[in-house]
Amino acid sequence: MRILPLSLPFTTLLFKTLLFKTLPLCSALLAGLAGCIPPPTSFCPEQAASPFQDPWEVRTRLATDTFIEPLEVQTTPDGLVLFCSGVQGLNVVNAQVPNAPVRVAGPLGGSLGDRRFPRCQHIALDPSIDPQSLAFVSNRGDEIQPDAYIAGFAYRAVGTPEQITHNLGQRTVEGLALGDGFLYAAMHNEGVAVFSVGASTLTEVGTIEGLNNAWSATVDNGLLYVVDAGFGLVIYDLEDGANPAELGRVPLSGAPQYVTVDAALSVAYVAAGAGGLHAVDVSTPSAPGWLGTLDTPGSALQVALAQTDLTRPAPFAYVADWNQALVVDLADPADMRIFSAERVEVSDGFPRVLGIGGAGNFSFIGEWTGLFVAELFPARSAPDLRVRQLLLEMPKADVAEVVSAALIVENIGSEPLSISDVVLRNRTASGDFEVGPTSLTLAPGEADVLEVLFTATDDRTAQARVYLCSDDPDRPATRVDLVGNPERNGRGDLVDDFQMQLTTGGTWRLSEELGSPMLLAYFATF
Amino acid sequence: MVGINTGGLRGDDDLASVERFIDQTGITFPVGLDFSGSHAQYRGGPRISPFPIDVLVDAEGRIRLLSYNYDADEMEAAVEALLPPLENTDGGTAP
Repeated sequence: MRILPLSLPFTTLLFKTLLFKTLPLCSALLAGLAGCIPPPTSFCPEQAASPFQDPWEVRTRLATDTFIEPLEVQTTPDGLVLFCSGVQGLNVVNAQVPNAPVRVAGPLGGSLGDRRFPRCQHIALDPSIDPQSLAFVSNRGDEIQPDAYIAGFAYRAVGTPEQITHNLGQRTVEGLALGDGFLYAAMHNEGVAVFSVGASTLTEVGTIEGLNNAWSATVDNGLLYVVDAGFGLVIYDLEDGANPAELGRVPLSGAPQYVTVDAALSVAYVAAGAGGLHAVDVSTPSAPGWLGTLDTPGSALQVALAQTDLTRPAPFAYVADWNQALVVDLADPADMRIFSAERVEVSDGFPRVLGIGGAGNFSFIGEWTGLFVAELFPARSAPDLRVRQLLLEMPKADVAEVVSAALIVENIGSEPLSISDVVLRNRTASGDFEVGPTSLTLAPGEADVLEVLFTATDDRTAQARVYLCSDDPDRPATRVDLVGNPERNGRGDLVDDFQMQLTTGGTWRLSEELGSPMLLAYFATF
Repeated sequence: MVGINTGGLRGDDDLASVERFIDQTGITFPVGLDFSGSHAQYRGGPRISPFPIDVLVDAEGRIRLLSYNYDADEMEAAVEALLPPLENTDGGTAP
């Protein structure tokens, strides 16, 4: 059960402030190359090498000179990767040699856009190799780029500016889908706008109504699949592309916001934020049927299929899942399972995976700071350590008082996981931390708790890093930051009172709202 | 649950942009604009991003979870720990 499905939009939209620089990274295979560092095993000096091989290895990161905030990622059959950047607009990458991606075009921004922040969140593209093939991108409109717009680029013509720009002003637009001469734009509570695609213009010819919060869409075999974040999946017939006719719909939990279709299996996979990943039988479009749901660890934002032969069902799906990327085993869509997970290495320790694309065994992970290329090895299996809290804040403690907190560890891999040691580093003098037990074995799917004890030696903030040494081949030393007695307000403190103006009018004061538990969600709109 | 807009990247979030954001996301809980800097009380320390910050407080206003990096499982566990157990129709307690 997920209790806060509507928190997803916050998680997808609000992490947009710091400019993070990413450490160079590599897999063991690339260790030794310039600019590439091996996993930080040195933090676990007594640790033996893992007997396992990582089933999903990060190979490289697309080099950029600044952070790029990748959002939707799309691939073409001939090895191009297109990704939207919330900062830079559309980027086109040649990944015909996946381990050595090269940006060949972009950033491409709509002419309506602020040149510093052309912005783009979603893509719909014509994958044919025709040089005039168009890729359309959308900008939803926000504080930084107030005009919502759709822009179309001849993405195979390097350096070509957009051919079509359509200003939506103060309206809003999210996901896009291209049909036969028509563009379908999910417009949240306006439904889906239908555009006729001309040589240099988009002409709005209609609207699909009856939706609560149209978030994204895709076209497959003459059918339009729309995900409604306030309902589920709705399927339309495109025999008359200007006037899609609803065939069927199925409610789905969470906040459905991305859909892709495995035509060979007649199954639609829907990323539904905190609702996880849904599989829907679409073999009878007039009566789509829910098959199963994978409760992903984070928030499922985009799903791409690891499919090279479109006549055969995809064996795996790649999922952008907020703090991690996932490979999901699709052998039984009604019983999807995590095959491997990846928390790419970023300097602050908090990866934010917002988009993902797939091309067979290669995947392109759109993380906040860059585009990472990872290779899947289906024959391998390994343990996979997931630590729930990368920053663990202890309850407040008086001097000499001992307080405890639970550090939750899970094995989301497919082999038993062995934690062999726990190493504390970078300890400050204001307190002592202890973590135990220092060794632990977890079966696949099992979770357990490490107890963290904190003894304050004075009233200043105490910090330490703990490294969990395990046989997870991907992350043999997993770092968690510990904080005791933070000088700011923290766990156990009374929150400071404040007041604010509600958007609906009137004043809201915290002290007047107490009496029941409350969640304060701070956000900005950019 | 209450959403607290803090003024944005350049400090120029205004009522119109916040209302647009509410429409885009479909959120239904109350949202307010607070440019007084109340979020500064949670800032400082390692790995701390300014947004989003989720603060779970109990009935007395004591902080029970301070989350700088939304984790669905962590939030779910913290909220459930604060809520009274659900009662089954037969008078028992839900698992």
